[in-house]
Amino acid sequence: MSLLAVEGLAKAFGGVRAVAGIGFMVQPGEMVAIIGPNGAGKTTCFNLLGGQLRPDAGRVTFGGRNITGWAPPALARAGIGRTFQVAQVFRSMTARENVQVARAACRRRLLSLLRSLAGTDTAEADRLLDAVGLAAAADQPVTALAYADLKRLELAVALAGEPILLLMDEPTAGIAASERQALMALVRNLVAARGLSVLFTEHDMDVVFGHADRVIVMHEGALLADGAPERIRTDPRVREVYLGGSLDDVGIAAGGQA
Amino acid sequence: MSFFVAQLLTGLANAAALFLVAAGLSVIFGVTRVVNFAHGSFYMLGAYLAYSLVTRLGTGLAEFWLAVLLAGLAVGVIGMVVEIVLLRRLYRAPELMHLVATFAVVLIVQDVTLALWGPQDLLGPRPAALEGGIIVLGERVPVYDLVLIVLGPLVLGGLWLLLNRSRWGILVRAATEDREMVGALGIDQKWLFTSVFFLGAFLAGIGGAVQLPREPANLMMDLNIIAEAFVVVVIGGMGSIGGAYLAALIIALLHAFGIVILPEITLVLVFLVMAVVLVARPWGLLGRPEAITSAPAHGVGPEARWQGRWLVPTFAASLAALALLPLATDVYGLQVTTEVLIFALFAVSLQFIIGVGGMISFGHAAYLGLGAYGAALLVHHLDAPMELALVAAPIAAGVGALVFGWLCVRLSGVYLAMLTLAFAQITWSAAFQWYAFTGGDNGILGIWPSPWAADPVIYYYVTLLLSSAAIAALWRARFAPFGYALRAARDSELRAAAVGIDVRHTRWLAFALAGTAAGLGGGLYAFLKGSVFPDVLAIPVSVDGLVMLLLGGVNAVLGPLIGAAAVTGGRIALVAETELWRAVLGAVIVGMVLWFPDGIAGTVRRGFGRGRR
Amino acid sequence: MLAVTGLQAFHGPAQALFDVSFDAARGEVLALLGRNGAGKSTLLKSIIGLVPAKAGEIALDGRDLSGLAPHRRAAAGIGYVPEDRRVFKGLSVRENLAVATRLPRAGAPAWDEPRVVALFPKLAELRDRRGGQLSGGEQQMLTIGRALMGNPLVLLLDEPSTGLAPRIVEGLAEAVSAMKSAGMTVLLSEQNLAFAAAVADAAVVLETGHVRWRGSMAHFLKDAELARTHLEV
Repeated sequence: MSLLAVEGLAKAFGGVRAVAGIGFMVQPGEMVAIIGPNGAGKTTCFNLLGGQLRPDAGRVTFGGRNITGWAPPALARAGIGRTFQVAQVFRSMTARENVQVARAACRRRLLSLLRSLAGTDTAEADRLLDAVGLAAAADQPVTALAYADLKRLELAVALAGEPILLLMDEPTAGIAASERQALMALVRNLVAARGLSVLFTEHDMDVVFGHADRVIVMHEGALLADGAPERIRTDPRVREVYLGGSLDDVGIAAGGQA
Repeated sequence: MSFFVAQLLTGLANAAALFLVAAGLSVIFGVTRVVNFAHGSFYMLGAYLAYSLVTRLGTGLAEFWLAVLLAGLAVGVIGMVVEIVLLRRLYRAPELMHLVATFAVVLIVQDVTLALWGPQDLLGPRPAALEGGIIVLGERVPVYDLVLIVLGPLVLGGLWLLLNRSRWGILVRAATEDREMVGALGIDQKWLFTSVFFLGAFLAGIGGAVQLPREPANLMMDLNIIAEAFVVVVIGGMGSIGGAYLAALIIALLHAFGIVILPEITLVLVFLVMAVVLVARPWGLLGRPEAITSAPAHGVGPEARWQGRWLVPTFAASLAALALLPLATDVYGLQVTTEVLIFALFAVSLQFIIGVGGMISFGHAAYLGLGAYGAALLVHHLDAPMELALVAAPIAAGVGALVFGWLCVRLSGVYLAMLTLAFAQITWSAAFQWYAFTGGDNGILGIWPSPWAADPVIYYYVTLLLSSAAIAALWRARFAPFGYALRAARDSELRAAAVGIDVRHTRWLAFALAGTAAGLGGGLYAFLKGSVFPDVLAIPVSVDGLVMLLLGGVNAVLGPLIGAAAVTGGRIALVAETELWRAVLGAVIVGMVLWFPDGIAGTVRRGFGRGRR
Repeated sequence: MLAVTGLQAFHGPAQALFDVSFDAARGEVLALLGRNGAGKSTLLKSIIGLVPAKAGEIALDGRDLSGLAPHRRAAAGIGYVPEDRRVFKGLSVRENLAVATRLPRAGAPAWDEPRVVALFPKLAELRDRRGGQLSGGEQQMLTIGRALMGNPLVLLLDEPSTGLAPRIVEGLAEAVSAMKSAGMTVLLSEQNLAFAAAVADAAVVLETGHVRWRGSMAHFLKDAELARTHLEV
């Protein structure tokens, strides 16, 4: 059975159909990339799955449960972790505290008023920081971390909720090319070690084709193609939406101009 | 039927001034994103200036309207000066700074008005031509009321023309939608902001001037109207002139009809209307949803780490010193220190909401007051002993905070600030108006501690024990998972929700917790003073709390203690020294906001940080 | 006309532009190509001043604009058409145009409402319609027209073809060509290569915030491998 099943998901903003009835699945242990040109509806789709937006229509099933329209905290408790395009971390805390507070949320210890957070789940938090390569930065305030490290920290924070599925919105956006592959290799290893599934959007095609097991292409709010990376790469329709026409057409257009 | 019509007409007439003030507030906010606390002061100045002008020019019809116009223009110019001198330098500062800075203007204007016109109420002569009344359906209605009823729609229409038919109006509307894009199209926003301030202040000045023949100019006009104007703007929708008119009508009619049933009921009605509107349309009746989502939490940097380590030793040392204080000072000194301790608890609880929670509360006095009144009413009506009253005080405030907080946590930024202020003003009005129960402005007297605690030294120790225990408990909560969850929601609401934190619930609980703590302070305050007056609930007390935070540093753990000592001590000293203590306090706030926005502790810490790096 | 040298800019904490340099000659249409996320929008925003540049220089007709507020840059002659269009939704078409109105400057084509309407005849019938009621294509015409009303020396167009039907895109291409023949310098960020090919003289290819290629549009089109590497999936 698939882990995540999306059917007929739709969302319109004032008459503009940003996501127009899209459907796909994610299998356990799979890394799936969603790509598409600007305005294809990737972000809206992601925000529908992450609970930041409520769909107009459609159905989302996760592990057999209907989670359509659930709010983010409920999704987190159900086992869906999330990272954002611009890394979202708790800026007033240290790296370790970031993980600790996420851990406390996962264990439903937030209403505890009397114990101190500092002594809670320290070892576990440090293990998670170690797993993303931030062990040395545990006591650093996050404002002192480089952006690539914030992306790693965000990953650790998401993992602290013991997710089964990770939604990653442009995991490598804003970091240098050299660090992208390292970050995605890390994600890859975590997927293997923890049996996670990952659904991610991405602009960097090297990242997409280097790490995704499957690629979903969106165009104008709809699903254009869904398949193995090599099939997507050679799909003429996919090329066309990325270039606004096939290369031949463009050649003709340019010839006509000249 | 005729009675109905008469109340309707009175309500419509009352709406005129309220609409003028709210419309100005709304236009200013729409373009500059500044909630102008001093807008009530502009209204008050309008009334006083009109009084002076009318008494000089005479009461002919033309002279009267000339006086109104001149008063409005003068206030408009004053508004421009405030914008150029103060606000222009603060547009990039957090909203909290806007509110506190404009409140400083309120304080200064109060003392200037007092100095120029004196403390007595001044009823302006009504223009002779507008004297008398006409009979409408058997009820006599003052002609002047009818004039005001017509004035509302006239101004609404005039504003509509100005905003829709002039290039300036087009720019104002464009800037209200998307300030940044207007800049990217080549419009210098500086003069636009200044001119908008002129218009807003002009409208408030006219509002005050036309109210003069109906209501004497007095020194309480400013805060009374601003709280109502906030309610109107929240209900009508920020930045919507039509919404301001509609909401002003609703509020004025609620008052007109409520007052004949039972004056207290109007407050409940106003609260209920706000509750319904905010639950159904958080952005107001005619507002736009996007207007309220743009309000980020108070900007904060990393929490100071050393305070965690040094907090306990510092606190213990201070407690030891305070425990020995009775050996070193007299009764007066002890009473002052007792008051400082109470306000320290008040400030720490406010910091829990503002600093840790990122919610700007402008009505924290409500919870101090609910605690004080909760204790005093129990003693007064049921002869309860001090011990029981001190248990009831935090409960009363906690329940109040649960009720108000339930609505407040639905909003953020300046909307939340205005709502908290409106709620505080509702509790103030209840205490002020409900003579039979609260004694109104005569207060409740004879609230003395139990015999064993009657000695000031003993009462000092009682206060020291309870305040420090409550402060320690709030600090504990701050560094417990709960406090971190609250801070997490402040740092990044998106991330907090995504890790499973229910942001709204967490904030609501924090609100209740802080309210409860402030309520304990209120109970202690009642027994310290031996009496309770509505003043304890009033806006200046809320603002004192904010000034304490600003002085001590919004996020510094020990900041509220420093701030409470400085403000309470400073105020007591100032009041003894000068008549113009409000103006001095206002000037101090302005200086602080402009030059030391990080507060005493923050400024010192920054110095430290630089030294170490 | 427009010279950008060594520009560095950040998108929040993340660096979005690394040492970007290029220039556009008077009357030239320069296409900025690259996949989404390459930094095209950030580049245009830092030219108009909405994103502060960390380092580097932006010169318009020899005048250094670095450090100026957006309204000064607009006044100096930069016209900006944002990707998300940002029409004033509550203002009518005519009012939207009026916001940006500025007297014509010497040495540049002079634009006013009749001329803008002549360029986009569709706007004539929409004059009193509110911005929020326009379709995507109409909004795009309006934002371009609005920027022209400021009589700019250089027009920045951020992804004008996004989300528009092919027929509308053709119309836009004609409009850009018309502006060019009127002497306007245009900096066009585009993902739609067909559109860029139809209007641009030269191209700059951005990838992850770096300039990867510069040259004439004709040259870019001849080399199919270039497009494959930088634009395709």
